[in-house]
Amino acid sequence: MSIHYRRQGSAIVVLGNTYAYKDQLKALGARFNGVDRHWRLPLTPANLDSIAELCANAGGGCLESSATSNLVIAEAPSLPAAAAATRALLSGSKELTEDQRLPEGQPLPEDQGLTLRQLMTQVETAVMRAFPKTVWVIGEVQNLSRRGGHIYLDLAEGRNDAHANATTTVRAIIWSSAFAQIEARRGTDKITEVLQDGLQLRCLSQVQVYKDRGSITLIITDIDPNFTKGALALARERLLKELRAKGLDRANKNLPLPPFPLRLGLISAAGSRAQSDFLDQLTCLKYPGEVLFCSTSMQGEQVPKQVVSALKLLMAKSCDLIVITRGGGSAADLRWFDAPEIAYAIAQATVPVVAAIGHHDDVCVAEEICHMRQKTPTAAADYVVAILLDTRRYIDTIAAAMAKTLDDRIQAVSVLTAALVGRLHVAAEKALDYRSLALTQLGHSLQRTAVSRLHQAMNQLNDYKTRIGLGAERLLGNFRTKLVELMAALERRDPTNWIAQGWTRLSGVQGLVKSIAQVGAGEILRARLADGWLHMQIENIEAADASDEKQK
Amino acid sequence: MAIDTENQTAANNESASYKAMLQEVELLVKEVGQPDLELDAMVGKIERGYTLIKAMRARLEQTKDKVEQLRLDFE
Repeated sequence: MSIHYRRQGSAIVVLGNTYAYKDQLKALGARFNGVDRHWRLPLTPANLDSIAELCANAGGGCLESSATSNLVIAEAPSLPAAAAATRALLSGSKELTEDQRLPEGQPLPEDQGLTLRQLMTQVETAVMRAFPKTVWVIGEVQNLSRRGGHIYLDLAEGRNDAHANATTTVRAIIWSSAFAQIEARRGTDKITEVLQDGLQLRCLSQVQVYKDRGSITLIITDIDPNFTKGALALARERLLKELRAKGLDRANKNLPLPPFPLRLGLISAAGSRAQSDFLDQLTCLKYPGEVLFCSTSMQGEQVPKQVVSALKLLMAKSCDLIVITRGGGSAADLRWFDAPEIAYAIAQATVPVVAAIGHHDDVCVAEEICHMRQKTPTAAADYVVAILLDTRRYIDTIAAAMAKTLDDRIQAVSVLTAALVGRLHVAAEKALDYRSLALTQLGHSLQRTAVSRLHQAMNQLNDYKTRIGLGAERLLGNFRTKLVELMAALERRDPTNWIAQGWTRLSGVQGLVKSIAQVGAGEILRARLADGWLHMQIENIEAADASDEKQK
Repeated sequence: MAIDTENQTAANNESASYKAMLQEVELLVKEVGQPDLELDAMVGKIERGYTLIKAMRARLEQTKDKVEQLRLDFE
């Protein structure tokens, strides 16, 4: 895990994977800047030496820009023959030829000009004087190629002028002998890592003028691989800082993991070991879902564009999870995954992204930003299946809890039901007893009412009876009284006594005779006597006069 | 469902007839207590009252037997 340093004003800035060295940095008096995520300590010669040593031990180095360190002339450890001749030339050990030397101080005739050869000779001289020794040059590697054991490349630098794509480009060559020395000195792997198109390269170069072609070529005698790594690390840190400032560094990490990742998106190189390892592991673990594979380049300039397209395509296909995986490679190989396009695409993805991009110690931006980093494609497959297993365990736990809750509820309901059965039976008995009692009471009530009513009727009858008796007696009494009165009246009207006293009652044809008017002469009358009747005939009728009436 | 409805209807009818009998008996008790009730009518009402009470008693016994049977079936 490399760390790098640079001077910044009156401080030394240390950055990179500094966590493992934090104690040493603290001991040197460095303080950590959480915003910029680097260490700062005062710029002193002692601190500078200590930090340079620390960074060198950590596989890093100085990140000084070309403006400050390009003028530092370094001795080339050994030079190929052409460069040796050039050095001899500069040391004055060889006379310049006629066509290489222009008399100094002599003005040109007005009707004449420099020949091209003279011009290029002066240019060559000027360049040699300006760069008598090798010089460290920084540029971007372009058009790298190998021919005959030699390495040919362009070193380019973008220009901030009217033409956005304008660059300054210089041809460079690494002779095979120099390359062998560089590899022996720096390590073949390290050199291979940094000698790739698109990478910033710091190389010790002899500036050579090819007069015939009128061009400048850099003859590279040494390469600083740590500079390239540092540049990559710097770019990586810059991008990460930008993402953190926008709150995008955790955007994909904060996406919830799907409980059932049954539709996977796989971004990898077709036919690659990474692809086969990933799919084989899924098969081995009996992964039940489907995998949508999107083939992309995993190396080269086209990686960012293709990976971004693949991400969009797989999200449009409603994948639950997307895995980006490639085989192991150098740190430089991973630089394509430090591209801002990929970082932003992952940060803005709506689906969790798992990155298994090599198992290098350096972590690329895509892996920093993604939801989960896995070291290998196999580990990524294990991770995906582990999600399903976790979900299954969770479901089992929930199911067990539900089953227990259900059992408890059933047990409680059973107890309740048993109690309810008892209560129901008791309630039924009570209800029936109550109704039976009610009926009995009704019957009694009916009887009481009937008896009462009968008593009432009886009383009434008795009352009537009494009243009838009383009435009869009274009536009889009345009748008796009446009878007695009638008898008295009858007795008063009985003529027997009067007849016995010599009175009589006369009856004629028309009945009782009470007046002479009722009879006529010769009429037969009957006179009642006490012992019989007299039949008499009327001889004469005489009316009574008033003196007789007064005597009566 | 239809059968349940029929059983429920039958149960409702039985409950309704028991309830009607009960109400009738209560009414009879009140009427018998009326002082202006004819004796012949009173006897008829008393007879009707006892008949209803007897029928309701029989119904209670049936219900009791049924409840017991249900309990035995459940256990």
